Amino acid sequence: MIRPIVSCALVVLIASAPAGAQLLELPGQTDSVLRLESLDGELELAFQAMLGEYEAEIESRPFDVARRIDRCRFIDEFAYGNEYLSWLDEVYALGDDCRAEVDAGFFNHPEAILFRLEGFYGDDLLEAARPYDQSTLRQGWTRAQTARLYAMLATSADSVGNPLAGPFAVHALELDESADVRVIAAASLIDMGDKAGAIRILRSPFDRHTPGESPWYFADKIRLLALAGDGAGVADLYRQLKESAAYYDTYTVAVALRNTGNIDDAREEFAAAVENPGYLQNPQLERFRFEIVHGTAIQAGEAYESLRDAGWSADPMAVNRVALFFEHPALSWRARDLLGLLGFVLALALVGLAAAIPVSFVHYRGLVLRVRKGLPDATAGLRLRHAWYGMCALGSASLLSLYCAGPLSFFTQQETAWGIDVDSGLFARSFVTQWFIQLALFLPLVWIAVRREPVSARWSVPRALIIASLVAVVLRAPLIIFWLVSSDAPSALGEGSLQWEMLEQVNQEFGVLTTFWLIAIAAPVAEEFLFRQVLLTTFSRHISFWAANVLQAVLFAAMHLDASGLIYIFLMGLVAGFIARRSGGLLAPIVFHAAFNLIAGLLLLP
Amino acid sequence: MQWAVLLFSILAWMPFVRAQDVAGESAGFDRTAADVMVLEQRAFAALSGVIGRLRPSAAVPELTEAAVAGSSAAMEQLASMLWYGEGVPQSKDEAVRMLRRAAELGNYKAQVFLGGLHLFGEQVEQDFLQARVWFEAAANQGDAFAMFELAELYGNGLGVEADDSKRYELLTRAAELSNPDAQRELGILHFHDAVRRDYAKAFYLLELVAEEDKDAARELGYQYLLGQHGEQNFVLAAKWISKAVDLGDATATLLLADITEDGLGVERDLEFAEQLRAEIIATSSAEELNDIAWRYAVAPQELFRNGPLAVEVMEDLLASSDMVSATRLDTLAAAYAEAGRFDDAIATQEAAIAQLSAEREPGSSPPDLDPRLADFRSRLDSYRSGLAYRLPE
Repeated sequence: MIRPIVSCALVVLIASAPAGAQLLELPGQTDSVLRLESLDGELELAFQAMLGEYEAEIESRPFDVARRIDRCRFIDEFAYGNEYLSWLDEVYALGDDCRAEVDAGFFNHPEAILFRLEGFYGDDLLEAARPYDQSTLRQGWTRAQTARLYAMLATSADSVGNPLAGPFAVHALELDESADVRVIAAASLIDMGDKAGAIRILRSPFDRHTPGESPWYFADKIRLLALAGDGAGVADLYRQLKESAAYYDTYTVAVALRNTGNIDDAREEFAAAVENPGYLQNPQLERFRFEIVHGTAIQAGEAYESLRDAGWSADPMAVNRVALFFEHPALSWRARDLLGLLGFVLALALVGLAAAIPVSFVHYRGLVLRVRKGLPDATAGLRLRHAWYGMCALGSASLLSLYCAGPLSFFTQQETAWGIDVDSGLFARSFVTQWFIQLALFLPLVWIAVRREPVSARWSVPRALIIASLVAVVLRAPLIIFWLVSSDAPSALGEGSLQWEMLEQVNQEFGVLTTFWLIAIAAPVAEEFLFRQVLLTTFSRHISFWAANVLQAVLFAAMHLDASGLIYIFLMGLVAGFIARRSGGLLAPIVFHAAFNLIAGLLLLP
Repeated sequence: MQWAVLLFSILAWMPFVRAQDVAGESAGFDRTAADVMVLEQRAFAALSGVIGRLRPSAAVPELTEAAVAGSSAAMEQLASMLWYGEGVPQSKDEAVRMLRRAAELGNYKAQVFLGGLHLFGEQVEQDFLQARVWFEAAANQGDAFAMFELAELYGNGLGVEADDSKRYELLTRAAELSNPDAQRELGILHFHDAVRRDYAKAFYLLELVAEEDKDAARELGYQYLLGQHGEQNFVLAAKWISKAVDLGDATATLLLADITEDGLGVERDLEFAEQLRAEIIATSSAEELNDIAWRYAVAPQELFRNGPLAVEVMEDLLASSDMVSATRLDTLAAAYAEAGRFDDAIATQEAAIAQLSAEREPGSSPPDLDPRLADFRSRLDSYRSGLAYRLPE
């Protein structure tokens, strides 16, 4: 009966301690210093009383190691919770004595071993605790003690990203159903495909956490249950979480509800996420994404309005408004939505200006050269304006394809390679669409080229095939060697390249045929036509071939938006230009480009 | 030859065990903790047959050495071998002394063993306080069995003040650690305890153990049958009731007869139901028959009532034994009422009330103060107004 009273008193004192500590920082407040001193004295009395309780108990039952360690733990926690105490050093000394006493009498006792292990974290703990993984070292350990060991191993393995965390956690839970490693175990079971096992673990009634105390933990459990496909479990935990009225991770819960088909509750949570975004970057966008798929026209329209309320920057090119239009064409447009279309026109103008920079450079340089040498102006074949149109077509195809990418935001702090917040599957779709648009926009150019440019192929078809493929192999030699030497090297080469990231996504979404159509047919044909036919030919009519070749290769590399592979792609562009000149046609560079892409595709794509 | 070596090694080491007095001086301060660990590992390796042959006696030297060095696990192992006479000559005295030493060094198995000895008064005097102390030490280390035993002590107020919340706490912890007894007790508690009612948890727990536990299987079948605390499912009810019958539960056999008669979850088969009841009635004692008839007469659920059968059982019972007791007359009256024979019920209940005073032992309280009297009278009143008696749900 005494102990509860003493501990209650202690709790009250400890709870009031920080207030005292704050008062201490104000100078000249004698009252508060006095109050602190009296608090100090009261605490010491309570501490001694509690210690006396423990000591009396230990004296009557010296064999109860768990109680002895409880005493050490109490001393440690007391020191930890009262760092301003004047007699803190004494408390620390008492803690050290307590540990030494336990070790002297019960060094090999499981409780003592576990208590020592509690002082380690991460890799250190893994190293210190790993020997006890052997059951021969656990003679006289209870089930609960073994479970504690494995829970410790699981937690620290998880904190350092060690893959053994999952198996450790599962083992801990097999021994003790209340072990606090449920989420680690369930996540690992889901990864391994044992969804039923994960559900059993997550729905065990022996979870010590309550939704009111650990709402974010419950949100995590809901996420995992949704991954395991347990809709009833998600609904049950969601109900508990709602009843607790705690502040939880609404977005995670919303996604879990959506994925288990509970659309009405998901709608509520997406709306709540807008109020309380937590770590979420674009809550309005997430809500809009949800409503555009699951909502009625009115609901989707409302979600768009709430997104657009954040300002013009929320939808600068009306991409989201167009996505809404595709889904619900009947929704009326508002005046401010037209601002977004204005943004698109502006972006088009920027593309045109950017394309004009190299063209004007070539134009004036060519003018200077012709004046200096007294040469006449070129009048036949493709002209510089066609080169400008080609580059504009390339840029506008990218801009236009964005309208197939679904709801997106250009402003995000997420670590995405493209720097925009977009659904990766839809983005892959827009990437594929981009090539269709590009090919369509090139058609007028092709028509002009066929009519005005004489064909003067100098290489026979077999010769073009053989030489182009051989050159591609030579240029790809570093990658092939890396691939032969180490299986990790290709992925290291491919990493960080936006193109490859996108291709992997396309591969995942549309399958291997589309991917190879893209890298072996669409890209070589379109790019070789633009850069080696249109740009190279027109530029070299104004400036020297080598200058024209370097310029088109620079533009070719810049178009790939790949900082790490910039020089390599530039080199490839130079070689392709050279091949185009030597072969006198487009077949050889197209084959070279296709072979160059195919080698990497075969080696890098899974 | 091997036998001779074995015998020699036992004989050579046994006196050493006694002479060194493991129980007295084996704290092993001249050895480091690591040494003890190594010796302990070697001893248990020998015991499990990793070293040498799988025979308890073969490990006695190693175990002894480890025990002398201060390994409590080795002491406990030796003690239990001594207690059961496995590999060493049986000596319960020695075993208890060694157990005590191991328990004092914090070995949970020894603590549980010793607690059990004190609980049943085997080899030591029966002492619930001591039993509680040892079980508590093991439970504090997280031993589920000790927790369950301790929960029972708290439940029955043995060696400690009875404390329901403490019992609940201990049962929960033991159930978390997969102790089947605790899981059953806790499951039943979650069904019936008014404060801690949690049907989802109760079903979860009972389903964990019902495969091997007749009480749990019967309870589970009963709950599915009534469907008061969750989903009513006759198929599952029949499954678990049959399971309990297979495990040898008499009450479950009656339940099975009831559901077979009504065709709930099993095929309707009056003959089989009859046969099951006859079997139980034939093998039950007079006390059990009275309970069976009482249940058939006053069960709150219509499903479990069977007036004619209760009348038949009680009439046979009263006819076959010359001892007439007030309780049995009371049961018969309830059975008559259930069967709709209220005149017989009133007459029998009056006879039961008269019997109360006849049963009165000299020197005991007068019949007016018999605690059963009020119940008997209230039942008589309800029979008079044409109502059969029902147990509260």
